[in-house]
Amino acid sequence: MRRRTPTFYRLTIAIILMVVVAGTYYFSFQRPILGEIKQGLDLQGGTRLVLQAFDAPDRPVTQDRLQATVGIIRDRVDSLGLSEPNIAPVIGEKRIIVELAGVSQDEARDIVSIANLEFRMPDPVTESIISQVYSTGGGPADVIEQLNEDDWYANHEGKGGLVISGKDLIKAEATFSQRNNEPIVALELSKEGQDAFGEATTRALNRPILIVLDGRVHSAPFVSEPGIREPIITFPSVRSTAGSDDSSGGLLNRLIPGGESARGDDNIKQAVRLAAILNTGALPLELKIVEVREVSASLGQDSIQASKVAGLIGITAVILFMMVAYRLSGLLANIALTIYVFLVLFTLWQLNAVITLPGVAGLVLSIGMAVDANVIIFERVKEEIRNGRTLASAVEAGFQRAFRTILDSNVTTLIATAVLYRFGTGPVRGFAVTLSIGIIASMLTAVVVTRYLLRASVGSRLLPNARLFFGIGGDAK
Amino acid sequence: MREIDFIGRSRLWYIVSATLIVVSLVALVGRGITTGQALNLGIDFTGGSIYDLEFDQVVAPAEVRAILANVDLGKSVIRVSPADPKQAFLKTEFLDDDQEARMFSALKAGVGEFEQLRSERVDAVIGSELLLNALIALIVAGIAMVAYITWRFEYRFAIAAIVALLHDSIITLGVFSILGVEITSAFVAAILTIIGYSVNDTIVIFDRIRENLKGTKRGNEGGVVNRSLNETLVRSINTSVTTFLAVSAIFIFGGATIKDFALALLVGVLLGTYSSIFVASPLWVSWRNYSHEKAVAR
Repeated sequence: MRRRTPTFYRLTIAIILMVVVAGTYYFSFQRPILGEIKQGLDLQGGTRLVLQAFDAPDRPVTQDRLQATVGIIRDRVDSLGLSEPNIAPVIGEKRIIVELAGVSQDEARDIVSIANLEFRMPDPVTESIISQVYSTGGGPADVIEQLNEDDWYANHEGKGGLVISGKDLIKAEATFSQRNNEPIVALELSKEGQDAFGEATTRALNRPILIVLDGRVHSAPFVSEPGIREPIITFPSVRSTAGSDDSSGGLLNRLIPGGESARGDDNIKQAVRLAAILNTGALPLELKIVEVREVSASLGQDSIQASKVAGLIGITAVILFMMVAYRLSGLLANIALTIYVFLVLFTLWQLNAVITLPGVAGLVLSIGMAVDANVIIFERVKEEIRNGRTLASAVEAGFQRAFRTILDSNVTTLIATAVLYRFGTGPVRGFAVTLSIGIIASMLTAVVVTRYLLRASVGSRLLPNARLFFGIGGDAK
Repeated sequence: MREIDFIGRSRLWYIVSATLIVVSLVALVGRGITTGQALNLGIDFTGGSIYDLEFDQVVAPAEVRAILANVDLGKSVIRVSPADPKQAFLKTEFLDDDQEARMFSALKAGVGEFEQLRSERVDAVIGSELLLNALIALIVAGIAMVAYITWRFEYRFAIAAIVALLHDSIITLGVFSILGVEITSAFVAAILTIIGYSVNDTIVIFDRIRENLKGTKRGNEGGVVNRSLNETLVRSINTSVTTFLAVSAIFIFGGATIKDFALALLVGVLLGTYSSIFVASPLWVSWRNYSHEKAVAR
């Protein structure tokens, strides 16, 4: 290893110490990193629901339908402005998890209740708003925005007649037109639905039909042909005026949503999204709430408080123990430990991980375990000193030997966590991630930080005494 | 410093561990026969409803029980917090919305107003799938670890390490069965942590054995292992002490919700340290000697 002057080492030690102290202060008091990490419901209070989907004769549970259901629930949650909701299908199962912070279970139930989908004729007022938007150069998105502003449509008394409702829609599918390969949404209607739709479109040629979900207008396509029984909603990429037909070729039944100059990609997304909305409105997968968990905000607060106290006491105990057992090198290990704690917290924050009560316990446990790498190094160095090496060469030799031990023991555990992540589900996966972060961070801090601090302390010649460093041995040369 | 003779007393450690395992298995089976459940499984695994309620006044378990019996929930578990006798914990069968409303109104009429601190209702047995998945994942993880340790060390080390972690897991389950502590899905995570800790701890010792074995004559493995155990003893103690200190803090100060989880970790840390020294290492020596003798006899 390249040797530098004692002054150089003294300087770097001073800098590292200052950075660690300043960083600890900043991330503990100025901008507490713990506050940045997303807390689980058991800490912040809220409701968790697990919804089980059941196969119905005409609508089996598919991944598409599960995804669509998740999409609609997310839309509703977003429209309520709830913070950081977690809504996700359970991989490989017919279940959906909904976690809403700060929401009581009654509110949560409302959110996941069955959607109400309607196809409606616009009343004259609504229709005039639509034509006004188009005449002033607006597009379909502007129409939707206008109609939903301040829940106008939901609160609007004079709704037009109902064309069909969700129960008449069997399936909506986002696909591509065989004619021009444009993205489209194809609707499959029940027999009654086809009759009603055919009749309505005959009357409403060149007029818009509103697709309304839970009082919110999601689309307002124009009827391009009379007597449509198998509706197809197109998203033309060429700007065209409402109702105008760009020579339909063989494809007859189309509803053109006004016309929009948008890129093809956007249209595909729009089609997928609309189909998703239609599907959940149409086929609220037969859902049953199989799990309800509610934690009041006050209990969550208590748990956070208790965890903070326990965590602080735990860390303090570890730090004191290291100081007593290893003297100056214990102090160095504690600096490495501080860096370890912030490294883990920072990684969790960046990964958007959710920390739960057992997670906190695991984190505190990992602090105890993180010390292990340091202990292995120090014990090795002590052995080398006992074998008669000087402090400086004992540090190098001890580190070299300890490194292999640390590597093998941690790689074995990492292999286990990798497998748990690959084959495990839910909490087991989350656990695997957290443990891996802990292992890698503890290896990094021990191998990089502790090693450098040890070297620098020895090189600085501030304390040329092995007894001060490790509590054993005589003076080092 | 005098060397402690770990390997010479292998038989004693085997008897201790075998006894602990047998007691654990008897406890698990015995509990399984008498109560139908080897472990006190929480609602995560069995389905059911639990509630933490804070009443406006002090409540007695008997009065709550009488009220619940009136709404056909006489079999429920009822506990009143010793620290705060206004707080009651109820565990009932799975209640649907109507049943829950009926129970709440009966409690309000009979005891008084209350606030719901926590409620959990689990219908289907979602947890058993979680358990099965975790088990499959564990078996695959075990195979992967055996492969790695065999590559880096030799297969006898691998098997000895796995035996040690099985030892730790079985005894932890036994302790929980005897104490009757409720098993939640977080417990699965605790067992996984114990396994990680146990393997990690064992490998550190095995690494030293591997190093000391270099240039050693066959037949003297016992001495080498004993020396290795002594050389790594301070490390074993110091690491388990720091880990134990950290988890103790959670156990004592972390609040009631997390106590059982911390207890599992405490038991696991102790066992993980014990098994590395007193199970995995002697086992490797015994096996190695047995193979050696067989080879000589041939």
